[in-house]
Amino acid sequence: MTFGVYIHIPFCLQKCAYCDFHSVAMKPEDVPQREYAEAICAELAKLSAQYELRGREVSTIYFGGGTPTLLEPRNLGTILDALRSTFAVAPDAEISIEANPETLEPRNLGTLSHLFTRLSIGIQSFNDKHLQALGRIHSSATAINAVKSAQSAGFKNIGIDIMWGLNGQTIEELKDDLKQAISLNAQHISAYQLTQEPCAQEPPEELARGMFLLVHDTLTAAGFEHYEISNFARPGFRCRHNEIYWHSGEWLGLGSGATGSLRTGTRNLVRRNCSKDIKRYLEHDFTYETEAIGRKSEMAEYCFMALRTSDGIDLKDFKQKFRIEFDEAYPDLQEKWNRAGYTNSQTHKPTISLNLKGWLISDDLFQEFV
Amino acid sequence: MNSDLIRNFCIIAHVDHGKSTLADRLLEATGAITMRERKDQFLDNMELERERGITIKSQTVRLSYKAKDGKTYELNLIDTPGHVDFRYEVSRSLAACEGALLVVDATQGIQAQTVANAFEAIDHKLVLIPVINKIDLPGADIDSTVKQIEETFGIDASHSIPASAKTGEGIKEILEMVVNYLPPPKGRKDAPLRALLIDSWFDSYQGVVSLLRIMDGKIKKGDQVLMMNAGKTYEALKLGIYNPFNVEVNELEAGDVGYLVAGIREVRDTKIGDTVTLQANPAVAALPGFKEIKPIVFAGIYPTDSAQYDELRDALLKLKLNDWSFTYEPESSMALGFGFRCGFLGSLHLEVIMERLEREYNLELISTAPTVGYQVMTTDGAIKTVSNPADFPESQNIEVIEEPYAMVNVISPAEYLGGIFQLCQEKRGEQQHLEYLSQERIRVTYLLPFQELISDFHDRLKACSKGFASLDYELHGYREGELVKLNILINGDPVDALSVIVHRDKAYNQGRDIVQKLRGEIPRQQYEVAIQAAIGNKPIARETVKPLRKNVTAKCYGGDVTRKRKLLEKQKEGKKRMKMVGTVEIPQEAFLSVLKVK
Ligand SMILES: Nc1nc2c(ncn2[C@@H]2O[C@H](COP(=O)(O)OP(=O)(O)OP(=O)(O)O)[C@@H](O)[C@H]2O)c(=O)[nH]1
Ligand code: SF4
Ligand SMILES: [Mg+2]
Repeated sequence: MTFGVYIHIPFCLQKCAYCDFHSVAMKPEDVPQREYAEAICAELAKLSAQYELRGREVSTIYFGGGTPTLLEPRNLGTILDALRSTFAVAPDAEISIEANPETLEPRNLGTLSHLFTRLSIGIQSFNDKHLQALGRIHSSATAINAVKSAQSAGFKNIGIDIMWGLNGQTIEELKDDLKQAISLNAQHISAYQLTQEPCAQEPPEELARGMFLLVHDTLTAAGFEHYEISNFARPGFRCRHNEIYWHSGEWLGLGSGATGSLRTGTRNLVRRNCSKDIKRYLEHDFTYETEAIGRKSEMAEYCFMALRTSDGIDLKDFKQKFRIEFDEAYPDLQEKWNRAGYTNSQTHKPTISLNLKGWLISDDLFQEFV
Repeated sequence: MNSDLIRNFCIIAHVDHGKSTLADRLLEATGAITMRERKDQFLDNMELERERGITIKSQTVRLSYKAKDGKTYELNLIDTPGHVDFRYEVSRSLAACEGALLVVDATQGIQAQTVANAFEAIDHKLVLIPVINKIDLPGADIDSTVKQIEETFGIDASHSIPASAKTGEGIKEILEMVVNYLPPPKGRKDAPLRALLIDSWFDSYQGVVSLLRIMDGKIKKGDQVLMMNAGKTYEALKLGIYNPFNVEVNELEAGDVGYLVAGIREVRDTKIGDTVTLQANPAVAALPGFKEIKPIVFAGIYPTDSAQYDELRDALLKLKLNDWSFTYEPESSMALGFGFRCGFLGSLHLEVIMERLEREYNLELISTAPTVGYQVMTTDGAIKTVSNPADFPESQNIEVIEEPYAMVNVISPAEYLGGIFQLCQEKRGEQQHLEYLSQERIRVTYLLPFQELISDFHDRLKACSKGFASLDYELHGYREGELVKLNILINGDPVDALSVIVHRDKAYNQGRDIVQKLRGEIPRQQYEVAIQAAIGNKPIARETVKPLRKNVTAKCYGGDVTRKRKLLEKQKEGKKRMKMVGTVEIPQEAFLSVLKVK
């Protein structure tokens, strides 16, 4: 099974109004560049020893935040070097970094394109009025330039994030955003409904539903595959790191506030959240909240996470993993959903996946698993 | 003790006029409780009584009082509840006394329960001492209150005592008046024993404890006693009094109020109102008994979690050990599962029992709309009493329905008369009597269907009189009525727990009301939900709950999994409390919203 590494960089230039990620606002010159990178390396050394991870094959690495590009390429490189000397990082590994448009300049993009195979840019909207309301510091022009510069710097795999359901946003405005997103020739588009408090005044249900469907129709028509509820990719450009999450794989989390999910010796799944106390993290004082995931919960997570993707649940894999047939674990469920028209018809493999109708009310459906 | 030195009296009044607080002052003034032991409404010892600030059960206590004449008297005081539902508690207390303190709140004057209780005391030939209470309050009007008492009851009230149970003013005067004005008990000590069983309750150490008022003769520890109506004999294992702490004595004699422990296992073996005599030397005739108390209001009580059914049954059994006034029998409902049909003395009684079950036994319960018991004659000539709408025969099979009526007395400032008339009319009442108690106060009597009374009558009365009108009622026979069963259907399935019996003229409005309330409470589901009200098969109102259109979490990555799972678990937990009707999930709140419908 593929194994990934997630690295959390909890610094941003400014805090966005809707943000509930773990990050603190900081001037670039105040970011503890070297110290944070060193702390990550120390944590890596500690955890890889503790869990006997040395030499394990790593297929994806993901730098998220916060704004990971606030760390200079030099320090990002230090971390990557440490990862390479600890793990067997696969030659074709996907190595992603999240970035905000204002931090991407031709100056650092060249180096970044050598360090990373994939760049994920938080554009959110091409409408300056909405960007401002969200508390973002970039403008749509900056965003467009950032994408173009990244492309000319050699990035072949670029993802962009956009948001919909913004306060007062109209269908027309969303159409416009989608048009611009497509025209940038990115390989991957994440399109989320804004739901984070306190910014979100949820649009009326019918409008939100219409927007979800508009996003689907527009992007699939443009050649994107709708492969997860909020994610679209050109063929061959899915985010492999995120697929680890959706298909209940294992990953190591590093950095203050990072989450990891690993099997311990007894095969129990353990989820660990590193403390959000950055100061202590910088002092190499690593404290975690751990959660042992019981079998029933693991099964539930496996199902609802997988059903977020177009691949859905692989029934053979389910059986192998939990040593029980899906139909035995959740009697009559398939039948019920089929009848109600929430599922796709079977492909060549025995799977269950939700269609748009199912996805639209998936939070209601997922309650069947818990 | 010389019975000339005994005084038995109770405290009666309208709700909240200060009976229990006055009892506190009397306890303190006679040294029955020390300052250290004192707490407000000392005799209200049920947790629920304390929290709600109401008296539910009568409480008896013996005080020892050294009067100005130098003699020490034994005072048996009974604090009674003021609420109309617990009137039977007052009745049996009155039978054990020679006198009563009639407490009237000087800021409110005579209210409906004042009248009901005072007249009952007069019927029992009790000597009344009016206590004009709360004179510390700015709005107190002593003179007009005294005048109201004289005019309403036709008694001389010149001996009324102005008092404040809050400040203690007038307490000394009350004690002196009790001693000097109330007669001592008249019983003959040398006659055969006749003791009135006033109350009994279950004590897990001693079994049933019975409270007795000794009318004639005496009872000693070790005597063989006979319950004259029940026809059973027991040995008097223990005798005692409450002062207000429990003190054992060797004998009780004519005039005394005290308790008896006789190895009785169940409260049901001790009939309130029974006469206790000695087996060796029985009385010729029993004391005139009480009428049996019968429940008037019925409701189904169900556990929200069906796993709590057994616990509910045990709890009812235990509660019943101490409260004979409610009844229960198992019933089941499609919507609510297994539960019990319970009978109560009134709506407050229902509320009190529900609350005690939930609180003392840690249960989560739901109750169906309270209803009265109807007499139904079917087309085949059979007659039965139906207290559950679900058991109601369909309209086409009903020949005649009779419903219970109440004689309702309302006392109110005259200016609200218009609103009260309108309310009573809307509630199908017929005016019987109207009287001016003074220039500003009226007393109006209506004959009203009991069902109308137990819905929101009381709240509406308070609302249309700015809280000034008060209410008293009594069951008053049965009359034929144009009643129909209103069925509620969810996606075509009738929900028995939601059906109600209503007057034909009100069916349409009520049906519309119910379906609208349900629409507001039933969450949207994966399918459209149709809610209908129907008489027989004929729909009269319909609402629909539109299907759920969108419910999806935007982002879910590695760090979100646990939170997402927990959220789903919480939502699922909420759904567990819902009841399935066909494929529709109905939350408890939906049931409750209808049960509270007017
Ligand atoms: N100011 C003032 N308040 C009083 C007086 N007597 C009683 N109260 C208050 O009136 C309220 C009702 O008093 P209770 O003694 O519980 O009345 P009750 O008649 O026993 O009530 P029920 O048993 O429910 O019928 C309480 O808040 C008392 O504190 C008084 O003389 N003056
Ligand atoms: S850039 Fe991203 S992580 Fe930083 S504050 Fe904005 S939303 Fe939060
Ligand atoms: Mg009281």
